[in-house]
Amino acid sequence: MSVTTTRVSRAWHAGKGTTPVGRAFGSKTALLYECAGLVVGVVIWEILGLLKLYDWLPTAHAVFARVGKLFADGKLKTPLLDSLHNLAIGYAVSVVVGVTIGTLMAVSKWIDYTLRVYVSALMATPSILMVPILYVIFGLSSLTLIAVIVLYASVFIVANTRIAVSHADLDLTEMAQAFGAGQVKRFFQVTLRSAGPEIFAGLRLGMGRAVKGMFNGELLIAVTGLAALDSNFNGAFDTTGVLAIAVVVIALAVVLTALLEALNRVANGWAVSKS
Amino acid sequence: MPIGEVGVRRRGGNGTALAVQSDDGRKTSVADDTMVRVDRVSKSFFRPNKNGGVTEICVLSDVSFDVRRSEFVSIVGPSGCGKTSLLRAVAGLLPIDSGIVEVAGRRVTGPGPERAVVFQEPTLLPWATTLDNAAFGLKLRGVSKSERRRRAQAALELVGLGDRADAVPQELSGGMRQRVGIARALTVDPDVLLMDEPFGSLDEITRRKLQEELVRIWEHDKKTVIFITHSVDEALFLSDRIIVMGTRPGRVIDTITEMLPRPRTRDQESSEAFIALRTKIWSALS
Repeated sequence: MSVTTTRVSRAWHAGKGTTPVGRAFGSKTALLYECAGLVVGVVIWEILGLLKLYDWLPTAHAVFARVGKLFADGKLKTPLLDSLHNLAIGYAVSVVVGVTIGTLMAVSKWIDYTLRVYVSALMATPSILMVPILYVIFGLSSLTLIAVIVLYASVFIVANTRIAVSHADLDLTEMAQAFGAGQVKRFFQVTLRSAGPEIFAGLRLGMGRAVKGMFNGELLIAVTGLAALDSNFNGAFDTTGVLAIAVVVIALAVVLTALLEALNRVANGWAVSKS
Repeated sequence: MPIGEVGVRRRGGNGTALAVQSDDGRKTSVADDTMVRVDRVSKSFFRPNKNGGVTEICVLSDVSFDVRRSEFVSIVGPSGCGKTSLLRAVAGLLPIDSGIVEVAGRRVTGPGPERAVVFQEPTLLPWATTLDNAAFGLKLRGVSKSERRRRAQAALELVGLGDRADAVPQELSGGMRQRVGIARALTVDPDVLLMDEPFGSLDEITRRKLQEELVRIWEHDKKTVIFITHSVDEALFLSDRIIVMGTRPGRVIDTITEMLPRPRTRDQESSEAFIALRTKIWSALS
């Protein structure tokens, strides 16, 4: 993944008629296109469902109605909160661990030499392979689920942070040095700031991976949370229920990633990222 | 042992001159308005070669010169003659192998508040406004926000960008960005302004305009300036003195002291004196 910082939001700098909330939403045109894309997808799904081309495929409106019913009946509330609880803790740990290790790898070649083989290996290896090992270590508890989320998410945050910090603008760093900035000031006022957009790209990627880890962990280990509900529907050959859970999980991933993107626009609005 | 390294520095009786004596007993008179002293500076880089060894590339060899207070000195030379390395050494950004660099009587061991650098590229913070960029040096030095904004605004006015304080670098032209770089250097009020081919990447029209702006700014408070350029005409238009450097290794090959009188105009560029000076420098360079 590469991120380029080519265009600058004028409004972000001068606050010309925008608020942090306004900046967080970004371009209205982009938002419109995103919504249009979603609507087109749902319409195609609805048509395929109405045509009954596949026995197993319910209509979109039936699935959305099931989601609504699950919420109304309160059947979704507890599993969703369980899953979100683990996700929040797992993702927070991933961010702290990922950004710290990635930064250390960028600033110390010795740490980089020592750890990069593990990072490369974990990026190339399907994380699901490691889940049984975590189960053995942490047992049947939410700690295992959190560890799975950390395993899924942190390695991508590490990799992006490492590249972001090590590729930070050296000319700017030297400029700061020429004006008397010590190493700490250079790092916090220039390097980290300059690396911000790419670090955020890693955080967005990590969020998607964390949701994936959350669901896989629940499915493979504890059969709790959203995965437990999904498993029940699956066992009853209730494809509408399975798809309703899928919609909830997808919506969760999209909303959380969008929230991060909004945060990115506020923090790094000077750079419009293209990932 | 380079001069002055273990030497004794004595002030003359009338307080106007210094005598520098090295441990080998050699004595050199130095006017006490010397702001920058570069004495027998050498610097080499080492690169791995195909044979598995290293190749030494000598970029500066025994370079010596002084710059007086309020003097505008240009260093001109071809690419690879070590101009930028020399400037970085004076800025304290590049350690030297041997010799001495002194600014305001103090030996340079790193960047210092008495020096400010204008880089070849503007190197502005893309997330900061023009005003915040101009104030960045003061921010690093812990100056209060109100004070640094006041001084940065004044510097922006001086470089003709007073009305663009809220603009961001990407909204500015190349020439404007370079002016912000100059404002950033002026804001910290240095004794010595070190300029590394600041107009090198600009088009000819903008370049000539900024040269005139620089002369106007320099005449405002007559800071000591060391200006790196590969343009002979630029050096002749701007400087009180020109140091000509040769390449392989980088060394001083000539110093031009008889310059055209100030104030200078563009008309002088077609004068016989200007052409004679240009010819003299080109002869030295070739």
